[in-house]
Amino acid sequence: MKWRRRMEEELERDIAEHIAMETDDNIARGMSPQEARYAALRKFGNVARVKEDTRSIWGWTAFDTWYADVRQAFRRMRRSPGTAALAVMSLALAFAPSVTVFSVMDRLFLTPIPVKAPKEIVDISFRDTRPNASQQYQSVSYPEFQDFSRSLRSFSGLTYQSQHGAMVALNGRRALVGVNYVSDDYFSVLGVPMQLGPGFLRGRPSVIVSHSFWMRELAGRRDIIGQSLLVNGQTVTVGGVATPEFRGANSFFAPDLWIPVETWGVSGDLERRDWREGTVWARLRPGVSLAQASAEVDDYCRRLAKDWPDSNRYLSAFTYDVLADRERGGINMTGIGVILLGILLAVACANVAGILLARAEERRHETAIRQALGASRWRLMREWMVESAVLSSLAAAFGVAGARVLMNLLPGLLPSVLIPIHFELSFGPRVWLYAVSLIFASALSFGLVPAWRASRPDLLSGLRRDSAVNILRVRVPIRSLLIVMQVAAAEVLLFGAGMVVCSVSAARRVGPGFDPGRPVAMADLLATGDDGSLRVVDCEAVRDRLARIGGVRRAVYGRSVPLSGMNGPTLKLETPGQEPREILGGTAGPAFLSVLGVRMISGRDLEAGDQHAVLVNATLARQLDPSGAAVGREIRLDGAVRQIVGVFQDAKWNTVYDPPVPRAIALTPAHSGPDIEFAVEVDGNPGAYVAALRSQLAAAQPGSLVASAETLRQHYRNSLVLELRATQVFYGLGLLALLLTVTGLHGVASALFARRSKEFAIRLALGAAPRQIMGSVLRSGLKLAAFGLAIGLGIAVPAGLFLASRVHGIPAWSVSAVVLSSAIVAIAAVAAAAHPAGRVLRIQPGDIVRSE
Amino acid sequence: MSTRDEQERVEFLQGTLDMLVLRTLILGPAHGHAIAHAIERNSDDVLQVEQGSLYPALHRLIRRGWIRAEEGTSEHNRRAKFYRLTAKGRKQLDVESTRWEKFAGAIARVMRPAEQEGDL
Repeated sequence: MKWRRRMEEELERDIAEHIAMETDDNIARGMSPQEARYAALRKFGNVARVKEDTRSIWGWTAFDTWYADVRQAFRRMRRSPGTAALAVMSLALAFAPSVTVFSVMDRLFLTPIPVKAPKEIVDISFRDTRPNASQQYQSVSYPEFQDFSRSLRSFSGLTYQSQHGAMVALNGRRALVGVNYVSDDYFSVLGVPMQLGPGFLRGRPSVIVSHSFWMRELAGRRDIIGQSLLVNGQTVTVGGVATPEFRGANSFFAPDLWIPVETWGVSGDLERRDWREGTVWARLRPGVSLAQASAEVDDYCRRLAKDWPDSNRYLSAFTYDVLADRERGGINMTGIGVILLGILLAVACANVAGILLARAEERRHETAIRQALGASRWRLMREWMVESAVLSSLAAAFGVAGARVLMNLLPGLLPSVLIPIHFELSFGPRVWLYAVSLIFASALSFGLVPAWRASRPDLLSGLRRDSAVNILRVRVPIRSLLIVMQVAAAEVLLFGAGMVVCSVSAARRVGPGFDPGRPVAMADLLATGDDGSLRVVDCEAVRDRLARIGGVRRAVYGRSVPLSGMNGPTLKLETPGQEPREILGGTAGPAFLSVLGVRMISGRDLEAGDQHAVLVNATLARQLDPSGAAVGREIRLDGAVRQIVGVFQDAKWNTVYDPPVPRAIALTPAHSGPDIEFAVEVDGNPGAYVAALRSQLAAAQPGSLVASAETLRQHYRNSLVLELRATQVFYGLGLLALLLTVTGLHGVASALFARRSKEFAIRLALGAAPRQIMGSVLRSGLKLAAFGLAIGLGIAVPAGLFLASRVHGIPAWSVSAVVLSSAIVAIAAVAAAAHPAGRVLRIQPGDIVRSE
Repeated sequence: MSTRDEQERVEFLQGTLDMLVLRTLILGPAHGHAIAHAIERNSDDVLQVEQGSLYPALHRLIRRGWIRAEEGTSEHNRRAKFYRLTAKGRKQLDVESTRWEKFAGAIARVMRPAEQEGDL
């Protein structure tokens, strides 16, 4: 740079010398000194131009002007730090969630499952053909999988996998982990390589551990192959470590262990044909199309229905290319989020564009002068583009930092479940690419418009200080358009927030089917021995121990907890004169349901020794006996005769959105396990008993895991955690959009006011009432807001209808959401426009008119 | 600057100014002002150099290594930059003059028959 400055100085001196010599010559020729100097200057030409041309010969002018543009951009930002901060922060606030949501999409759906030739993989499952089926799609049971493997010719290999939890004992510590029970040749059929070790071992129980588990629990030791682990009390040998890329076949559930189901031992439920817990993936034989394979599976399922009418009568086959489907489905799902955040980002961009346009307006005079001096349009546009690039780079830096924070926070916001989900988000190459393209897209979108407008050759009006000409020809009102867009987007987001709130409150109104307000504390006991083996619990003994805690009125135990996120087992119900059918089941200890607030409509709750008794819910009771006299009747459940002793209200077991489905609850045996829910009904605040409950349970069953200790109300709230989060997110986005819109509207109204203040002054001087003028400023602001509101509603309501048709539990729209969101936007618009309008009162007509 | 000025400055054919500068400097080092005057004087004032345009040309020649700048004192006892032809520049001048002669000759040959046709 020093060298650069010296060249500059020398050139300057050289030129000065030249002109001085020419002047001397002219004087010698007899001109007056002044005349001589003018003549010399004329002869020399445009000094600035000469300098510029010479500099361009030195080269690096390109670099130089870019550098100057960047510096200028920073200087301008320093001059109005408030505006710059507003622009940067609003962009960053929109960047961060956009990038985060994209990273979720990337992690769940865009990262391919690393199997060999994924196009050959199809999923085989069942479809229930009955119109009122409780589950339209059904998984596959292990015996059915074995039938498929033996008989189907379209596939070169079939795999089975089912997801479970298991207790692993590690150096005296126990951990609950996610397990995939898989068919023996699972990895070879899918073509998934091992990172370490040979894979499943033949002839003895073995396990493959995930990369994450290996790093987390086994310290990444390479000598782990061949060593043994204790899983549910059984010794298994580590046969391999999966690659970091392979996180199992399910996007949401990344297992820590894969255990071959055959060597583990096929027993218990796994042998049942109606215990459909498995996912079957098969690899198409070369040359076989999906349609051909589907036809074969269809045929085979018809045969299964004939051979096993009890379990398969209503099931037809459903075969599809699972990996392509996964991507489609996932993109649909997260696409909504990406689009919503895109809207927010667009609002932020519109805002920044508005700010830049306002600045362009302020600099019209300067721009016109520069154009008059010969600055090219590209040169002027580039300055604006550089400024917006600087703005968006700064915003991106904040945004990326914010996204990192969000990505660390997000897994913690997931509802807590028994089996820890290791859901880590990371900045992969795709996420970076997305972030960078967002930066570019936004810089272009909010930079281009002001740059184009500001650099438009408009010498005539630009050079005049007086802007009266502008008023006469206000052209395409780009800023107004931006504001309309922003208002529309804010309305869409607020409406979305309103709809989520409505759906949550609707769910709350419908209620869980039990009274969550009862003074009850509860906890889940998972009984295991020191080696991680699953144990049976003496529930009565533990219950008696809990009952001795001071302040506890009643202690109960049971296995089927309402709102546990699980439907519970299915039972076969046989009633005389009717076809056998499936209903939902479950077990509860004596008085368990009553303590948890599930009201008995008639009859009584279960009591100790009620081995042959059963409770039915209101829906089942109505189906069994429409006259309301179900109590006392006998029914056959899974082949055993039970007597109905009571009818309980239709509580929700899975989620609050459950439709009323028939359910029967039998007695939980006094010795059962491994996981039992214990609850205590107390005097006073149940929150105070949670810790005591936890410690007593831990003491009663040493070595066991006590999970999700909470009050009944917390339990209820936790079941709505996703809805709560969604509400918060929507509210956050809506408020953010509103904030941006208010600042934008305020800016437009202020600019309008500034531009017309002279006109207002003249009108005031001529006797117009200030109120009239205020009204006109306010009106022009509100007109834009009204336009935006209409457009926003025009988008939001159909979008709501569309979503409601696709996602269960979302109402299409509600009057209160429409009214509320519109009111909020309208009030914000009035507030934003009122402030500049109020300035009319402070106009001193005399001052302004005199200054002309 | 307006476009009119620009047209006036393009009176010189591309590259000819460079050649004239080199030609002028063959007589010995000179400062910018002297070069401009020499060109005007030697062309009997036919070629009007817009003097400013000399400077980009000089810097272009320096960059190419055909001339060198050095400090000196002018005839009026002013400090000035003197430009001196380098060996490379001398060679370049030979190349340029040959090319120019060819060019000028060709133009002349083209123009003369045209005049004759005009006589017909």
